[in-house]
Amino acid sequence: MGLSELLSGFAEVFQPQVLLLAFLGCLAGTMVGVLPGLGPVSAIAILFPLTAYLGPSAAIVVLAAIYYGAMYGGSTSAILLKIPGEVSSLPAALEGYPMTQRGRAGQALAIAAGASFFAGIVGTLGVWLIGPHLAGFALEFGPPEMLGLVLFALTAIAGLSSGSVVRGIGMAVAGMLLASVGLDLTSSQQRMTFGSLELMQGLDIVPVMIGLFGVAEVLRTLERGTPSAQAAKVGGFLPTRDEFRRSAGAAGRGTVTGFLLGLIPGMLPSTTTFLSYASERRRAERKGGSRFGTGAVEGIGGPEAANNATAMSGFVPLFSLGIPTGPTMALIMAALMVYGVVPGPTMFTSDADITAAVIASFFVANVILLVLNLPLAGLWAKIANVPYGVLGPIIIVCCGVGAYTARNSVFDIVVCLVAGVAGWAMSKRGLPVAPFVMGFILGPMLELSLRQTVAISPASLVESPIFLCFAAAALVSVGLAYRLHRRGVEKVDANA
Amino acid sequence: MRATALRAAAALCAAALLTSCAADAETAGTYPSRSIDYVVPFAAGGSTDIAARAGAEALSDELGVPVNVVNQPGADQIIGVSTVRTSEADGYTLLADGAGSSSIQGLLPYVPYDWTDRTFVAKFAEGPHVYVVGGDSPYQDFDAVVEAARSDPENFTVGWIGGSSTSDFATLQFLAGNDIDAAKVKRVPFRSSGEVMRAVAAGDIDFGAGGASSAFSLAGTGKLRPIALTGTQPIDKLEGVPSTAELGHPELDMQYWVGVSAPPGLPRDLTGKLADAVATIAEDDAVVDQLSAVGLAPAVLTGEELRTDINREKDRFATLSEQIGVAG
Amino acid sequence: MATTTRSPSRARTLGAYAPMLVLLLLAGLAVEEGLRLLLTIDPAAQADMAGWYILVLGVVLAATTAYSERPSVTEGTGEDAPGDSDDAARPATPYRDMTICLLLVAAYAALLATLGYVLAGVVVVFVFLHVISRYGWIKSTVYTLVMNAVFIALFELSGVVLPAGILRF
Repeated sequence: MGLSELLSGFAEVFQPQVLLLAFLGCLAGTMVGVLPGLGPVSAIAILFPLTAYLGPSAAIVVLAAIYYGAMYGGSTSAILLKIPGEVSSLPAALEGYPMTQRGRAGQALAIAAGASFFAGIVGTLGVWLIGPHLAGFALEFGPPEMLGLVLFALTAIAGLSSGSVVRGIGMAVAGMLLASVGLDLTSSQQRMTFGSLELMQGLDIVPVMIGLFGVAEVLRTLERGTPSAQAAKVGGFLPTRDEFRRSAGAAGRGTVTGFLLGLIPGMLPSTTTFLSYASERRRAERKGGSRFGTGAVEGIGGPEAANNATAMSGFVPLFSLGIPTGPTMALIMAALMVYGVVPGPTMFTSDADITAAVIASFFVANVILLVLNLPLAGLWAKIANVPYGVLGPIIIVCCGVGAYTARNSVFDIVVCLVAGVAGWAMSKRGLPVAPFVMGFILGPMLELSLRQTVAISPASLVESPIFLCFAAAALVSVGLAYRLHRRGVEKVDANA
Repeated sequence: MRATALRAAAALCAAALLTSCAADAETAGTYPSRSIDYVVPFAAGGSTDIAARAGAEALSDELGVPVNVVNQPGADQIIGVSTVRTSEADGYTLLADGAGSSSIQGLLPYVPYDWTDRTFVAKFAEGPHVYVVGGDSPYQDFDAVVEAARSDPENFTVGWIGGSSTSDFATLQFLAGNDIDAAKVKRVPFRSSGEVMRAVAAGDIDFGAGGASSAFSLAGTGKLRPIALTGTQPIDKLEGVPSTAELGHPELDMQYWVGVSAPPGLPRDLTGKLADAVATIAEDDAVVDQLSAVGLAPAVLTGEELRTDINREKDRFATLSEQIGVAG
Repeated sequence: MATTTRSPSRARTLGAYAPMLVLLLLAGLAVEEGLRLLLTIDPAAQADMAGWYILVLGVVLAATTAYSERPSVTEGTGEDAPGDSDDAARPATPYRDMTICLLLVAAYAALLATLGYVLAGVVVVFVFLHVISRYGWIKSTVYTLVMNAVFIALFELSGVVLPAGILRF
């Protein structure tokens, strides 16, 4: 995709109507993102139905805006109220809230927004530059190569995104099994349906995700109660020269590592955020005079940049390979498919206009959020303080509507309910949700390419160097994750 | 406390029920007086969906009420069809019917209803399938493919999308019509005819069939070679592709179609009024344009003729599917 | 767990075994379905791969579950969510609220198909506000009306088609 296509993408986005939609998407996303416990996945899951009838490119622009908005919103409530909307805003709460207590909330917000903006823009450039090349490479992929890729993505996710490899694999397999419910691809035989007409249509990813991330979150909040906090005054935004220098360096490092790590399936934004936090902290301690824990600007800039860069780089494998790297990407992929855009190598060619508009909208959404976020910070803090008693029913109705509209099926609301209970139970018992979701979405791809390979020529597996490379990488990733886990590397990481 | 809430809800419901009862018992004179749901048993974006949306828009203008397209995908169209079948036969819930949701359904062992148990209102569009081979494949025309497949069916791979789509039956018809052993041919699974086309173009499989529109984007690149269109009609966007009739195989005529059906027991006068409206919109220029973009052309059939047509189609499907044990 | 009739320790044991049992059940069903597809379906339908696929997955799931989900292994692996700090106001009756919340989702499904989305929304929002959030009659009613007015406006404006139920015109 050249510059001219990107420019026509901008022309598409700069229509007043689309800009308005992007603006509303940012607004709605931020609003959901500042609410306790609701991160980008939940924001997209809950607001998804409202975009369903906009037409593909406008809807994707709005979804991207919601996604970004939710990420910015999460940091705002973390800094002002010490309520991290989700795990990846935790560093912002750890370092930002102490700044708020010292009356420097505005500066903390400005650093978070600036770092996010920088990472978002660099990440978008990365998607634009790398995506088409990777897609061109992947266009040559036949069934055996695809099988290798999916296999690697699954094992990487199972190994990386959870504490125990065996548990990760177990949850991924459970997700794959639930995704196999329905009618078989070749023979139209019923599988795991037990004669139920409803199960014959299979389980859709959208209600499952809404259940796991929307309903389950409501249950957790009802169980735990909501943290109450008083909004502090925001004050001025301009950081000092020293603050700027230190946070800019951290943001640069966070952007690069966040983007590169984010290309690997299973590297969720929350993981790279913590890696960045840990490495900035180590760096500061080595230099001496670390202010970590009491409001270190590096601890805001680095992780915030890593978070957004990883969120962006997830779009590279999604758009060019059709492989989501985590739950959020899985949901975005499902949304794209609802609009008839199939993520994969052909997205940069056959849907080039939509892809260009999406990439252009990433730029625009980042600008809108930078402009929107700081002046309205006080308002966002007030929204985060809306009592859960009022938010709860809104979220429940949105979950119900969202689950229903994916396939206009009442049964899907029941699926969402069951997934909600499952999601609550999984977090209660420490069962990792990410491999489950990835198994659910990658399982059918794995089965499809496996069966295509077997039907065409099983021997092609050993003849395809790309498959062999992926298979080796899959084995290595499992072995490595297992060994790392045995050595208790998590503890080392957390203390470093 | 909660009892009061229940009472209040009950009163609200009763009031609402009264208002809706007044709207019942309609005749062709007053029908339609509110919005109609047009259920498409596929996900959004496919050619049936696009054709149904074009039809719905025109139908809305023609009848003067909104016609909402409701996608209910899944389970080989069974979900969408059963929703419509169990709705009230008042003309406000209609089905975007087609070969895939009517006659092929008669073959599946697990369909929980009798496929004829619905009111067939009208069919308004129809289109051919296209047979394709890869641009680099050794078989350059129809006869060469037939020759290769007949001599070595076990190494002949064809695209397959679930077994209850008209594309698959077009493939089966191709195999049966040319004395190729369909049970031995390797059926390679795909999710859509678009993916089949891509796999054929990439040389992963030998042969594919799909609705004509599925080949539009790749046919121009030279990587995909359409060898025949089923039936007699040429398609503008696939210029130069011969029809099976021209190739001397008029029996390979599998078409796919889009129409309107209603729950069983739709009053005769409403059926008549709807059929007339559907027949009118099929002539509409805007509709014809939208249909041709997805490889379809207007083809109106109503009443007894339509029923006979679908019955004949069903018998043909049954004969074809016996070869591979799909029918239960 | 909401098993109030059982003694606490037994309820805890049951809770400890629950994930393992659920996963083993899923694995068992997969193995059964896999064998059924392999053994009872006409080979001409080419359904054997469909059977092998879930059979193998079922066996893997059973193995990983037996290895890592035994309560003796999983002891104390539950996560503490990030917001779980001391300043959180502990709800008085969490399990009652959660049960009602789940019932409300189920009720929404049932009411959507019969009464339509407007009344389903009204009922669910009102019950949540009044019973879970424990707001008074007037506050609950006013909030219900406002929220549903916003919902209806949003859904109508964005073109989402929801079942109109008995309030259709």
